[in-house]
Amino acid sequence: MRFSGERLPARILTDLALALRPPVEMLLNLAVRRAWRRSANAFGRLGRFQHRPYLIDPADLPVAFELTLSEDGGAVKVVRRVPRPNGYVAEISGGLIDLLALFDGSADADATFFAGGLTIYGDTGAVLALHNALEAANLRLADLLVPAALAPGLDPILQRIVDWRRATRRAGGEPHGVY
Amino acid sequence: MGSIELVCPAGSPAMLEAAIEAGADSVYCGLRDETNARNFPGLNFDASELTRAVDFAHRKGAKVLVAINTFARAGGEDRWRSSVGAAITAGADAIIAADLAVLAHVRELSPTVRLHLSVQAAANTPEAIRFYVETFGVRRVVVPRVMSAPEIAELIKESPAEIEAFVFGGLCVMTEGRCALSSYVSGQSPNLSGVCSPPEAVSFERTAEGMVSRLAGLALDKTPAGATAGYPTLCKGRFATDGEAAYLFEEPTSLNAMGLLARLRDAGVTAVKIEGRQRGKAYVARVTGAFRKAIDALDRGGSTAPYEHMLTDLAEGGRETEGAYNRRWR
Repeated sequence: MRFSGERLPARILTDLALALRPPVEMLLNLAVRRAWRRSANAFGRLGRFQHRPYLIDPADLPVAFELTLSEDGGAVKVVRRVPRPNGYVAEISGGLIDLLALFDGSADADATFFAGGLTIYGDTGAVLALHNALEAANLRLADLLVPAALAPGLDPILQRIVDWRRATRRAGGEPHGVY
Repeated sequence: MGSIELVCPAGSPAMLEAAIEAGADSVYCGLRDETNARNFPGLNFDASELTRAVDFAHRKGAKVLVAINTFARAGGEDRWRSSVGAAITAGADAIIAADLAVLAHVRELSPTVRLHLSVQAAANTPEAIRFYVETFGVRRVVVPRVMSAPEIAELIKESPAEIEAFVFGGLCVMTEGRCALSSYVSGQSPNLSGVCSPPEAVSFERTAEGMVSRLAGLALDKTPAGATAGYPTLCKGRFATDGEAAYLFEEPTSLNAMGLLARLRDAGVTAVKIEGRQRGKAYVARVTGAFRKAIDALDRGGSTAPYEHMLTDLAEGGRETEGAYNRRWR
């Protein structure tokens, strides 16, 4: 799971990942649409942060994700990391496993953040609003990772993998997702 | 329900469902505005969500207590009236309030709806409680988190109302309902705006040495790398006096009084409360589950010990305390 750039320069890894952008974006946008259909009111919880882009930055992936949500729906783009200031209302960075666990509500955001598992930059109110909107949307891991038809069967399996990975990392004293 | 009612936080419908599924007897929640003391972005319920939440809870045998526990603002009273109306229309099992005007309005609107006195009212004597009972028909009082367990036991002997006590979550050391620290630096307070240290005024700066937490630009704490930090509130800031930095008012730590459940129950406490509407599904599911097991164990004649250290990683600063319950000074 770790794209450290030890073998390939980080820039080449990023370019390779960006080349895969269309199918990844399609999958993620389907996931957002699915969550929006299931609980349309949830994204409205963003209030004044609707239509404002967030940067979701898994530290162990070569690319980041731009997420924009509103009560009318939402969109995800695969993007290259750019220096600040960069127009994002907030940036949330951490390990992919921690971010997935936060998005599906299986991890406590405060505990993860204050233990050092997340870094946020920008408007703290915007981060809180996003967290609350995603919680209310009742996302499941499978919503984010697999096509809708496979989601019901795969969700418990994915959840176990993520829980196991987080538990083993805690037991081994590895810091939460900061690489 | 066991011998003690377990009252759990719900910041959203998803959190309400998680709390009830995990074993809450009651959940408390607020409407999406300044009329409740957790007025954070994206949190809380609108009127239709509240109605659906009450239906869900009642189907599952749980109760919904609606917090309208901030102090009405002169010229803005309609917002508090509207929240009271929404709670009654939704079929709430009780309204939690502190402001005399809000308590009076609830009673005017409904002679029967159950009233609980919020911790924000800071009622800690039988005389104060009697006033609220006789004037508004208050049925339950949430006692301030600055009272010791012996003081609560004494209070219960003469209290004409049920007593509810916090047992887990964030602590507030001030005389509750009368703190102006947050509004002093950010312009917003828990009592008036429903928010202590509003997130838009909070910032974190992470460096190689650790993390600096700020409120309205003021650095309140610096946590070394690898240590667990806390949310920056002025009362939990670290200040330098005589050349030494220390937490002068309160350390960033969470209440965990699970080990005192038997004592609280034996003293006559009717309900125990979990703080944390702002936390989320994962938090409420774990804390509710642990306290459900502890109460059930007590009711079987067992011990709470196996469950007392299950929640440390959820505590603020990664540390827990029994708070004022074991306070030996006056």
